[in-house]
Order: sequence, then structure tokens, then C-alpha cells
Amino acid sequence: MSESRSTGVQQADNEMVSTIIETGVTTEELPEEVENLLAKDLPLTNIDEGDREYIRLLAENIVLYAKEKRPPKQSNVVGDVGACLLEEPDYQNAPFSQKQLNNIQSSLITLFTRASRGKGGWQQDKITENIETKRVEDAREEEDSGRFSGWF
Amino acid sequence: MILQAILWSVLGLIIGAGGLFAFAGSSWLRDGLLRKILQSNREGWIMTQRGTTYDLDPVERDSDANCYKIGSGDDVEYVEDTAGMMHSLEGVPLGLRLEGERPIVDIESAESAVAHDQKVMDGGEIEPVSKEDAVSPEPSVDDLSGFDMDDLEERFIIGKKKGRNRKILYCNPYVLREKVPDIVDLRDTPKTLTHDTDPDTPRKAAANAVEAERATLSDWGDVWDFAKIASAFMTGAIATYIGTTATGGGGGGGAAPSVDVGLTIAPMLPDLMGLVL
Repeated sequence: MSESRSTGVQQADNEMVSTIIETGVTTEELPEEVENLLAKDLPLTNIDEGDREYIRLLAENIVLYAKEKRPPKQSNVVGDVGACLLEEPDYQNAPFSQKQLNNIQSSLITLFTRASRGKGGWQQDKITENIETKRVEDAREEEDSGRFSGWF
Repeated sequence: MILQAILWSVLGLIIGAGGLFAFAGSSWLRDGLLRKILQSNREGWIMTQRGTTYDLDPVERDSDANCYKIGSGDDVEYVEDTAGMMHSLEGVPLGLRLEGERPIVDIESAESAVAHDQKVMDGGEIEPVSKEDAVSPEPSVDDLSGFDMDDLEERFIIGKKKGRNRKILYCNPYVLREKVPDIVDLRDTPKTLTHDTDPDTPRKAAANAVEAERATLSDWGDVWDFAKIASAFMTGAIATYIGTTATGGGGGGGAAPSVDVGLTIAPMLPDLMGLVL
């Protein structure tokens, strides 16, 4: 395979992997702890069913802790009032909105499904198969074009 | 004669019954009964407000988790005294809390919460007193000249001024406790909290942690390790896992971020002051 073609194939492989491991969910309003749960390397791990359950349960604990960092819905200790009460000029903590709470629950489901792709290294195997298939096809194409190129 | 005897007997009964009622209603007896009840659980009691009713629940101190436990099994609830509001009555710890909340409060903090809730939280923007003031605002006593004592008293943030790269807040965190009703209502205490707490969270987190460890066991050799974990859970050792990860300390386990739970009450500022941001 020529060098430029090889580079192109490598780039296509990298793009494919990036697309596969992308979460596809809205993360801007998620707390940092929950956003970290959607790490890109999770689908590329090699875990078994027990590890998956371990991840799910500890993720639930992280969500519990993240929720407790925010004030309750009816709290007055938010924004400027909170800054005055606590004498912290940068204090801007606020309760979670219903939309944020729904997004957090969606993230847990996403985490669970992404973890399933790392079960037994399934995702890694599929990526490897895909790359090998493409390389075999590309090599065959190059060979065919080389064989018949002088005829026309 | 007989009539006289009957008359004296009835009179004696009336006097005796009256004396008995007076004795039963006496503060001496009442205080004695209260002391007996409180001292039946020297670890402490929590008065929980559920709606408009109050229940007195015995608590058990969990020193590993630095919490108090109410109930047992799946119904256990954890309450915390991070703000130091657990006082004592008859030499026994006693605290107050609202149903569904974890922090222990006291009467003063509950009264402050009620009083703060009656205030106007944000008084809005203060009009600049001059063109120069509007262009580059500085704190000035003239800013409050348009307010009378009632305005200052009924507002928490009296007013705000904004300028380039700065914001000035004038606030009055003081409350008048005379205006608070005599009966303590704890339902406003969540309005002073900086963290959304749930008394069931420590139990749920511990249960998840135990289940997570159990899920990773793969053979009989690990069952003994699980048995040790399960027994440690029963004796409150898993509560240490919750306590240490919750405070950001502990070794090895810390995937969870630090959580600082507690009750925040308005600080006592020495004078009315402006907060320059």
C-alpha cells in the first residue's frame, strides 16, 4: 500500500474509532463528576459482567454524592444571596433543574450501555475486524488496479 | 350519724382525687418522667417534625460514619450534627430535625430560618445618585439614603449596584426573633441549607458499595472476602467507606468527590456592610 494511501486509511480508522466512542449525549449541563463517567475509553475496555455491575453501582453512588453538592430546591442560599450569607464572592451554586436531573438519569443509562460494549473486549474486537477487513479490501483494490493499469 | 359518715367519706374521696390529680399534673412528676424517658437512651434523642406532628426517636451514635442512626435495617436513617446544634436535656443529647433531612438543627436556627423566609431576598438594583456614580460606581452611604428602617429590616439584599468589573451588594443578614411565632416550625430550615441531603443516602451508598464488591467475586476463594465485607457492613465498617469517601479522605477507594454537608445559618456581621465583588 502506498504511503499516502496508508496515511489516509489510518486517518479513516482514527475517525471511525472516534465516532464509535463518542457519547452522543448532551453533557454541558451535567455536573463534572457525572460527565467524567462518560469517559471515551469505557467502550474500549475489557471487562466482564461483574465489572459492569461494579461500574453501574459505583456510578449510582457518584450521582448521589453529586446531587448532595447542590442546595435543595427550596434553598435561599443561591446566587447573590448565597454569596452574601457565606461571604464567598464567587459563590454561584444553585439547585439542579428538572432538566439536569433528567439528563443525569439519561447519562446513567448511557454509561450502562457503553459499558456493555467493553464487555469481553467486544468493541475492540469489532474495531480490529473492521480495520483488518478494510485493509484486505484496500490491498486487493490496489493489486487489481496495478494488474490492469497498463492495458488502458 | 350514717348520713354524716357518708358525707365525710364523699368529701374525703373528692379531696383525695383532687390531690392525686394535682400531684400527677405537678411539674415535679412531669420532669421526673421526662428525665426517666430521656435517660433510657443515653446516646441521645432526635425530635423529628413530620408535617405538623413531632416524634421523639432514640438514636444510636455511629462513630465510624460520624453520624447518628435512627431505626434499623432497611428503615435506618442517618442524621448529622456537622453544625454542632445537638444540645442536651437532662444530661442527654437532644436535637431537632425535619423529616427527610439529614442535618440536626436547634431552636435558634429554626427561628432564624423562619425569620429569613419572611424577608425580601433580593431588593433589586439601586438607582445611581449621580451621573458620576452611574459611570463608575463606588460604595457610598448615599446609596442607602432612599431606604427607611423598615426597608432595611425587611430585606436581605437591600440593593445592588453594578459597574465595570465589579458588583456591590448591600445586605442585612440580621433577623428580629421577636417576630417569630412561639411554636418552632422546622419546615423552613431546608431554605438555609447549602446541600441537598437525604437521610437514606448513607444506607443506599453502603448497600451499593457492598453489592459492587460482591459482583466482582469470581470464585469460592473470594467468598471469604465477601463474608468479611458483609460482617464489616453489619458492624458499621462500611459506613467508614462512606464517611471517608464522602469527606474526600481515605485510601485507595476515592472515586467519589468530597461532599461537605451541613446547615448554614446567616453569619453575624458586626455592622451593616457592603459586599464589594
